[in-house]
Amino acid sequence: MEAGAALPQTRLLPQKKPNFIGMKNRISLVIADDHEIFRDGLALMLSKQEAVTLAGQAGDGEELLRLVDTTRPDMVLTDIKMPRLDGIGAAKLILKRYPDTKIIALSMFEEEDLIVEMLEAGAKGYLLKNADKREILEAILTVNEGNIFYCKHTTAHLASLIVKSKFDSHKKAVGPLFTDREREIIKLICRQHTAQEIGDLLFLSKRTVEGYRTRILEKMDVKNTAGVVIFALKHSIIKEEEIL
Amino acid sequence: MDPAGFNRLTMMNSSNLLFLLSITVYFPVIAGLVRLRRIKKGGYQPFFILMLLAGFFELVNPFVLVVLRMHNIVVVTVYMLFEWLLIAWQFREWGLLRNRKKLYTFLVALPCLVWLVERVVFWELDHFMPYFQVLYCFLVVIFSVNTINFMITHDYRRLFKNPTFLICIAFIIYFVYTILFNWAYQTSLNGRTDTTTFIIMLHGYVNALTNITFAIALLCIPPPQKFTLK
Amino acid sequence: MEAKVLNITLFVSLILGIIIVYFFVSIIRYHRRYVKLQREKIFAEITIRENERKRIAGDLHDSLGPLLSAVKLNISSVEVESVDDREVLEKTGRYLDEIIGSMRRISHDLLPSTLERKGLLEAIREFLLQVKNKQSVNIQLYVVKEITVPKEKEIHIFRMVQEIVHNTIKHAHAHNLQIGFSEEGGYLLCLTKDDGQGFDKEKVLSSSHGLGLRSLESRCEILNGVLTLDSAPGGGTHYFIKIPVS
Repeated sequence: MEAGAALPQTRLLPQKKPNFIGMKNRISLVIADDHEIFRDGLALMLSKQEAVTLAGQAGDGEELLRLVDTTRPDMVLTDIKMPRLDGIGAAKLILKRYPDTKIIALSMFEEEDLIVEMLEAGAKGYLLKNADKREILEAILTVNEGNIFYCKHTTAHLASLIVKSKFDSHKKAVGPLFTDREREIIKLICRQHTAQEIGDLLFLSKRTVEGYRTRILEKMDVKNTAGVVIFALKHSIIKEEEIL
Repeated sequence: MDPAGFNRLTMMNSSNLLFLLSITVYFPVIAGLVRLRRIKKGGYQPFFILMLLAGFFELVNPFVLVVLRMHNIVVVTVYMLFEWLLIAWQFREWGLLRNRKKLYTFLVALPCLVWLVERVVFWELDHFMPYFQVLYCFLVVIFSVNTINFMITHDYRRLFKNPTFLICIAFIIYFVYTILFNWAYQTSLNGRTDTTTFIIMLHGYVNALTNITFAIALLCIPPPQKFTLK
Repeated sequence: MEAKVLNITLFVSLILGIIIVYFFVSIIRYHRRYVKLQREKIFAEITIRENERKRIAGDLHDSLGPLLSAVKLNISSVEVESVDDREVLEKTGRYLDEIIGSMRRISHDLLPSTLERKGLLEAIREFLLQVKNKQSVNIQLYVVKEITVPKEKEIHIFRMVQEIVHNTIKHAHAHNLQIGFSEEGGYLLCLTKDDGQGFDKEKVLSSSHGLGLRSLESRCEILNGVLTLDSAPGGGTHYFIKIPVS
């Protein structure tokens, strides 16, 4: 990994000592956000992780482009609303030059249609900024493997927007078939019921419900409830009005 | 009819009553003296000076007539000129035509010019000429109507306790009457009729009513506010 | 001499006539000026209020938002040994999620971002969607013709629709509400119809409920539009709004 010449505005964190075993598996990534407080916190958290190497931080879209040019990271975590050049514009330019780069969008509240635009521009996943450490890492790993990641805090409204957009939300072109029982459970999951509640409603035990849930997640190839909702909407297992 | 005859006519009309009515001119003077401070702060000086002048005139007029046995035309018309100027000044204090100085000066100067022409060019001592009087009465009424309409449409609280409003109403009544009076007077120069006699007779009463309204208006002037956006 | 008398009479009558005409003319002119002043005052008030809402929504998003996200991030980064401590941190994290959720809701209520980004109709559709699942009135939106509204009017029309919908839900006890939009000859037309219990317009205007109605009228006025309200106890309520948008 190249550290790159230190540019005046970008800040490069000190690199960890190269670990030969881990070097090939370490994901190099850069982050971009115009809110310094959040960016610092994120950088600090990521720098403590073994699985990733933080190659740099940027404060706006143009800085991000320069950073990507210099450091050629595997992944980019970027805020959407930034001065000078926003996340959407930066994403389009980055993917034009380096189409293998994986981009994850970071968003605060009230930016739902912007998230959709990021996905349409080529981002492979998104996180709401109040995601916790576990979810951020999960997102990084999922997207690194080539899958799509939906933040678990996705609102029903955002889910329906995604489904309606040009974004191709699933790798599998044809939806798998589900049994009636599975469809019932999918609908209840989409309505934000817990496993216990679903069990009570369908007279099943909690463990059975969780088993169903795992199978459903596998069949759909998604990681969390948000993924289930989007899949269900896309393949018309559930209608928009039923969950909003 | 000569002015002396005219005066005799008015004096014939129950001279005691007329005398009482004519001392109502001092009511606003007294009211004004009571509220002197408020007058100064409230911008009613021209009006008060007018009241003082009227009081003074009421003394001079009979003096000239009875003691000096002169025609009082000059005194009366000079008084009217000053009345016009003072009223015009008061309206300016109240904000009339503040932004259009040229128009204001023109409107004030016009009756003065007419007065000059009447007085200097036509040196009439026998009877009053109506033009100056009617013109300045007309202008005062227009100014008053303007001010009243402004006050009506602009949300003033307790309009009937507002001294400006009361004074303007009194002006309208008095000066419209004066226009009619001039008509009656001019017409009666050729021959008295019942109408003209009646209108001329009302003079004392209208005068008294106006004076009492003026006095009430002066008493209604509010105490000066510390901070006003005037 | 007769002629002179006639002259004087005519002259005086003319003077009096002018005075009367002037009286009427000046009172009408002043009244119009006054009404215009009032309208400008209301417009200023409403604009200030909307700007304030925009500012607060922006502040929530830009100042509080990142701080809360950073706090959540930091908390989830803390490594603790004991299970109890970890539970405390998790609970704290959930509280933070709730706070952020509330802020989102507040910000959205103040000024829906969809209005700026996607325009009036989308914002109204979104609003109706959100309203639909919280209560039992069946609301239908018809767009007869695509409408284009100048930017600065959008927020006011949106607020009016919000107000009408709220009124219907709160007071009318209706089962169905239909909202229709159309454009004709440079005017935006909005027609709403509900099958609720109706109300007595005079009575409502004089009571405290009248505030909402009055604000409706104010907004309509500052948009130079016309608001017609048709309602009778037991007969449903119709609103008809016509606003120039050319």
